[in-house]
Amino acid sequence: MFIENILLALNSIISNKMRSFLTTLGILIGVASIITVVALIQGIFASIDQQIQQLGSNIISIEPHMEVQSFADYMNNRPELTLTDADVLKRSIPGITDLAPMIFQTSQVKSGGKTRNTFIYGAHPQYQDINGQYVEQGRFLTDLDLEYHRKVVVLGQEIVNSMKLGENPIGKSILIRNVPFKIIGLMEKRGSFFGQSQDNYALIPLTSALDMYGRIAGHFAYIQFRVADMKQLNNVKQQCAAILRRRHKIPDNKPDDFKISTQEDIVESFSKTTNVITAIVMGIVGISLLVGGIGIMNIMLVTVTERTREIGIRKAVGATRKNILSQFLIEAVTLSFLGGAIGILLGIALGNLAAHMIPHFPPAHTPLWAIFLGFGFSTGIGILFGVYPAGKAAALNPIDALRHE
Amino acid sequence: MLIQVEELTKTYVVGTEEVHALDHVSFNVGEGEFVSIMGASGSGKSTLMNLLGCLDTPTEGRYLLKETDVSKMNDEELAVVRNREIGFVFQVFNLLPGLTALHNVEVPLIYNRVPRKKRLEMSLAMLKAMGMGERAHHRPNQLSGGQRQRVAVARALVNSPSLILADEPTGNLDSKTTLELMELIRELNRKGNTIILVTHEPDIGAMANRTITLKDGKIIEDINHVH
Repeated sequence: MFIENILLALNSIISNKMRSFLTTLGILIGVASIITVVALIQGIFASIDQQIQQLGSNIISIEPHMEVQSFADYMNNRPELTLTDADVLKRSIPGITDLAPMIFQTSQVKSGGKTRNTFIYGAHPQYQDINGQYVEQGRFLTDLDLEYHRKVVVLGQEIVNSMKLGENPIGKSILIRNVPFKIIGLMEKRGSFFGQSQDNYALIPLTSALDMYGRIAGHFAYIQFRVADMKQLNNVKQQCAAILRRRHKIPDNKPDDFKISTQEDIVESFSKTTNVITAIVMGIVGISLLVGGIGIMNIMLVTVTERTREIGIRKAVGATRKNILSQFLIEAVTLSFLGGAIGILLGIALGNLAAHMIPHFPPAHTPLWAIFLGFGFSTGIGILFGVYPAGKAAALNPIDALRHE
Repeated sequence: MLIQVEELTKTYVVGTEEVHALDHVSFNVGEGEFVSIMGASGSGKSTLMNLLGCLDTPTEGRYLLKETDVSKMNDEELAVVRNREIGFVFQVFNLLPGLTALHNVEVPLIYNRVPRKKRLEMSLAMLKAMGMGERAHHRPNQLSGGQRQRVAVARALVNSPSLILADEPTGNLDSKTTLELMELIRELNRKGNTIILVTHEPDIGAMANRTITLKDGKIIEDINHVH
């Protein structure tokens, strides 16, 4: 009987192709937009997750941080991290290797009459290993560069291109805050994220950066290090917190003025964000599915009226209420299921197309759960909005239905 | 006795007034009979037809079909009785327009849960018996009125019902096809089928072996014909 009803439903859907298509268009668009959005978000997530995973999960990052109450409060109590903090951590905790403190600032660079703003990182020789990004041409910063506060710079590729520094810029000079720096290396390309270049930055020795920016730099400091033994990760985290609290003289009832995070924390907070975005988008799409469902209900009600005589005939030759109910319910569900199926295919196609069209966008990724969700949603909507018209059909009196013109 | 009707009454309330569409009607029909029910419009013959066809339930009285009281049955039970025991032939044919002749004949078998392969065999055999074997894959709108009515008869017979109910079956046919159909119905009766035919045309009614005439919801005449 079930198969009979599906065949009947398909027969009726095919004999009214245009109407069936328009009826299920709402479901189709709703499901297609869910799949597209999920595929794009999951694509971004997958690519970021991969980038983070590449760095290794035994890296801890510490940055100044406070729960901001007001702007005035923030300006008076701006948290900072100092080189001494970094040194103390390294000396006190045995499991730390590759410690690399870093500061970052935005400054103007000039060369040959061209000017632009860029990120200046005051970095440590360990920067390469910790971040998994390496110099491509020339050399990186060394311990000696730091010791002698040398005015040398390693550039991101975007600066080389936009400042027209030529094929081989190594050995040339650029001005950072009007101080001449000698170019010693070029970093490998990081690519772009949402069309935003990730290669607009310049690395200078940490010591030279501190000379240039002074005390304010501590507010934008960043300490990264590797923990030799993965098992000690949490232990080291706690030790760092205890030492920094003591050094910053934070009373027991006050929160930390720094934030310690591992790669895992970053992945987790990122996935929380994407989940929230996904939920919001799905909520909006849910409304469109609801509208689609009402469309199906509307047309099914019309169908029931149009086919009153058919219902009468079927009842006369022995169809029970249940038979008629399941026939029309299955027709509604088949209709919305087909809409959902086309929507899923369309969504996958649109997701890939969008990821292709937006420059530097990571490839779309449609997870299996989204496909199941699409099918589940469309079937559920079909049942929800098919029950009422099907019930109406089943309740028809056969005599009246047979007489219906 | 195939049909026992005792004091069957159907009352409709129109406004504040009670209308007796059928007023304490009693009669019996034996197996293998060919009965016509006649009467002018408003005589109650449609109401009687609906009750005999288990499409409706009476206000009062009893209707026993094969010794079973069907007058107190619920919707689901009545549907099963219609499916197994009754074959309808309607004035306007009432075929499903989207289905071929074969699939129209198949419909009662679907509700009787006959397996698909067997269903199609039985339906095709029945169409052939009605002389419609070559038109099995035509849709109703590709068939003439007489051909449609033959498909409808095939559908009525396919579940081997105890009773064939024909409601003005010739009403939409020309005189030539009317005679052909009536000959077909008489032939079915000769083969042992019990037939009740509702009509308002005296010469059609006279082709049955017995005629029950209704007026104002009461039987005014019940005669046998000698052919």
